[in-house]
Amino acid sequence: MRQSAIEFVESKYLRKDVPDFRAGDTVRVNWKVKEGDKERTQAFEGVVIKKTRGGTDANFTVRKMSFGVGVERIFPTHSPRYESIEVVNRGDVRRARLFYLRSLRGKAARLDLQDANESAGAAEQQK
Amino acid sequence: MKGLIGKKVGMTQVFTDDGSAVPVTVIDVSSCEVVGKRTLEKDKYTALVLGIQDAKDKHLTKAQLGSFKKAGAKPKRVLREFRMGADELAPFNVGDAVKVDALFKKGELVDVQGITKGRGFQGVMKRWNFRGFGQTHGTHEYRRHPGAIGQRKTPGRVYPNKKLPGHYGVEAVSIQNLEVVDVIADKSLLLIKGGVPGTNDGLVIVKPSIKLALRAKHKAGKGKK
Repeated sequence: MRQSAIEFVESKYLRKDVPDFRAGDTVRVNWKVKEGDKERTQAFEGVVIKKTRGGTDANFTVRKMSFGVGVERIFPTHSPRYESIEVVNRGDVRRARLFYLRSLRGKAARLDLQDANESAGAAEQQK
Repeated sequence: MKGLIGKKVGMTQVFTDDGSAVPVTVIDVSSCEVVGKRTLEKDKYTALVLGIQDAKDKHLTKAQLGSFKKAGAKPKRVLREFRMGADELAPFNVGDAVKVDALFKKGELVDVQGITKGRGFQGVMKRWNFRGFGQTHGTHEYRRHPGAIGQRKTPGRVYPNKKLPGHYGVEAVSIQNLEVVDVIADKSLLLIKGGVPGTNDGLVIVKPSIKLALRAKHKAGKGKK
């Protein structure tokens, strides 16, 4: 009873257009910015270093380097305040939380890209 | 005054129209029904009787069962009366389920009463928010103590209602002026901003904000002068 009622409430607020991405992927979040009565979108592009689950509470952290300074932003996954999330490319990583990127700079902080053919084959196998 | 009994389902988080996330408590009113009415002729006052949680026959006395049968309502475990005028009482029929959307609107301010979680025997810091004493500088066995509790030979006793350690929790507490974030009529759910007293599955009473009503009354009185 409890779970079903809560899930029903949350289902009304969940976004259906969240793309499938995971830690290590590079994403571009088109965040809506309000300036006075005008609205425009501002893109934030970087590596997803953390993703949490849990209905409307779900969020993800994006890290990017801005003028040599590491910037991290946490976005609620189901927030109505972003226009869209684009997956730029998929990174090949071995863990779910990429906090180790914080201590790496420059070339060392790059991630391998997932082999497109390999991942497509894996997806087919799963089916 | 209108009101209803509900069951606290639990808390979650929803997004408002402008995109901000608000914490909400979900209250389930689906089993709340009108069980009876108190009328001026019979009871010398008017009130609406609401019941919640279906009761099995074996859980009630025959007298209780008889009263439900006579009124033509389903037996309920918990009953509460809500005082209201005869004209307010008119639209309610005995045996009907309570419609949330008819009672509360989105954006309205409400007071929510519940029975708080039991915390057992607690010291003064938790129970009364005392400050306690320093953790260092040589404090000896006095870190969470209440301190002095009275004077000397005069009055020679501790005043009544002195805040001391003791049992904390399991008491009726009202939280005032909580906003109704959403009303989901088809599932009889009420979304209220913030937390409400009590455990999940605990009973809560939702009433319109008394402070708002008093303020409106005060304003109306000023206008007359």
